[in-house]
Amino acid sequence: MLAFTIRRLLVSIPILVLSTFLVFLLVAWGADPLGDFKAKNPPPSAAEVAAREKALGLNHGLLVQYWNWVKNLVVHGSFGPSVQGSAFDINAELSRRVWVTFRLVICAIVIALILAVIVGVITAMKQYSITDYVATLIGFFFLSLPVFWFAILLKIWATDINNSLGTDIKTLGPPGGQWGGFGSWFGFLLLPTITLALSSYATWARFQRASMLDVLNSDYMRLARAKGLSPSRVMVRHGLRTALIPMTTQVTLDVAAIMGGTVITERIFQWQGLGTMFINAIQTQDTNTVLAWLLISATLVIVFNLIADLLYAVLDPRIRLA
Amino acid sequence: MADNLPERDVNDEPVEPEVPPGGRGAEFLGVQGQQPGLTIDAVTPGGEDILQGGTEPPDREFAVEARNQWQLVFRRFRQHKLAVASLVVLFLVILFATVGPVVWKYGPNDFTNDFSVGPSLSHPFGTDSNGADHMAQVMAGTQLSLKIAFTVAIAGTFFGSIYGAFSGFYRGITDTLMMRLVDLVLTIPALAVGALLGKKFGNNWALLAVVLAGLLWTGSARVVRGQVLSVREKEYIEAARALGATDRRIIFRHIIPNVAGPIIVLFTLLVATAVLTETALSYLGFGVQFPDISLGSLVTAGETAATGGRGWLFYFPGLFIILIALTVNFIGDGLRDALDPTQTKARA
Repeated sequence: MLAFTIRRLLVSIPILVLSTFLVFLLVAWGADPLGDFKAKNPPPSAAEVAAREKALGLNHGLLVQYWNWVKNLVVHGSFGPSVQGSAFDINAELSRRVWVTFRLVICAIVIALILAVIVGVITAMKQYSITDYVATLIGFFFLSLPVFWFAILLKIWATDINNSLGTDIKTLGPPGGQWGGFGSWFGFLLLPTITLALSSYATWARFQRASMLDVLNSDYMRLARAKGLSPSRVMVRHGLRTALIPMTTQVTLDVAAIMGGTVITERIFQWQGLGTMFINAIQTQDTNTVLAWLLISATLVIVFNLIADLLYAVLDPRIRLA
Repeated sequence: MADNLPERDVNDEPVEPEVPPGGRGAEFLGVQGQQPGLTIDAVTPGGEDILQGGTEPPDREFAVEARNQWQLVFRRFRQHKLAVASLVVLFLVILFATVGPVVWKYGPNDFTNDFSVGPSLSHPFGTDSNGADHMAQVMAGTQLSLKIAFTVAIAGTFFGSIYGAFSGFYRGITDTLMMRLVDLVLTIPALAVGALLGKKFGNNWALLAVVLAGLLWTGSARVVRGQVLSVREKEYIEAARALGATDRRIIFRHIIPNVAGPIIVLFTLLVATAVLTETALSYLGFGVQFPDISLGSLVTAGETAATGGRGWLFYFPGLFIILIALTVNFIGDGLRDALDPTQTKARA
């Protein structure tokens, strides 16, 4: 297991490197960090532009720029200068915000996953029943819901309810604030997490249902029942455990989407997390911050892929690792 | 059979138009007509028998069966009431977005003297604070959002399917490399990169659609590859190869038509994904840019209005996004059931 883990970890590294390269190309192509500066009125002289370019390292070719960026990252652990002014330190900003976003992402994944597995298993066991149809309909509805619109709707409703109940609006304190009392923490986390979890929940519940149906119709389930195992043991040990295997892949595939979803959720609920930082970075065409965000996101995806592969080994007894 | 052959040939020669097999056999008969003696001499009764039994009747059976297949699909689709209803609703939404702006008396940028009035007979969706008719805005927004979504779905499914088909067909190192690239694209959040590129290309809806397609094609590629991996082992592919078909011909004539079902379903799902992604980007301000109207940018405008008690500016665009995504998803579900032959058993 340890050997497998290490081997798998080593495979992840080239993927991460390639991913950063692809992202670097996309960002170089899609953003112009000096766009605002050049658009100034009166226009800056060519010398000024050249000086700026030199300061940001844009005077080199693309490959050299990439090399410098990686070198800076690996050697100094720095994401480079920001065009949002020298007071804006990308690394400090990231470490301040990363926890806010990760808390949101992890809560959303956990909630969506638990709900999806429960609903998926129940609907599969009661296939074509009223429960199944209702759950499927609700799933379709969530799947088709524009998250940003629904988030605003929730916010409006919540404000109305708060107003009618006379509760006062609390603030979270400094960005990336402390966990605080469980109650207030829960209150703040509730709506954004629901929003973020919803669309993933819909896909996953559907997926879990299909995979559970596959398992339920298989011969070994009949055998397990014929052996005289208790129904719950058949369902959990033989059924659910097998049906969870494809699910791990599905979840890891959606981590990137959830990370992208935080951009919207944080913006609407005004969380000072990575998502808001990303939006600001795009608006100011701050390439280094955009790159930092994409790198963090890619790392998260790759880490989840790794976890999924390791989980495979735990969940699937057919996989025996040397 | 052997007895019939000369008889038919004799009959064919003088009265060609009266040939019972009709157009299907015309080519064959044409050859015979030019060189009647040769045909009879050259082909042994047994050989003729095999030729006729091997090509002609299955040819007819196949043609009939192929039509039945689609009739069957259509019939199964009709059983899915929700999908049929969705098809009708989607059609109405498309009419609303295409014919609506032509018929409706206000344009999206026409200002009236009715400022911020709620839904009424003269303004079914109300007006905004500039007095612009909101229904006209929603029509324009729906039109552009639909246009982008369908472009994304067509381009994304097209590219993804061909990519997946090639990858699955060649397997081995080609497959590994091609799929690693897909994995790589999957590590990138489409919404985030879409925002980055959308800021640059948002002022041109076609470019925005191409960018989105470039981020959303991976789903089709993965599914089609999986399908192709199983289809390529089928006997008819082997038969085609034995007949000397080129790889390209096998992929485009034999493999892709046989994985058409999943591709159609993927297409519908991609329409829904594309609508949701585009409107989200436009909401953030990184999608469709100002003079153009998207349902997403209408939500942005309506967001503050909704808290100020002018909810119609917020609810209607959202409602239309849901309508499009929901109907398309249901249609996709209906098609999936209809195109999956194993599904009939489960339904019966």
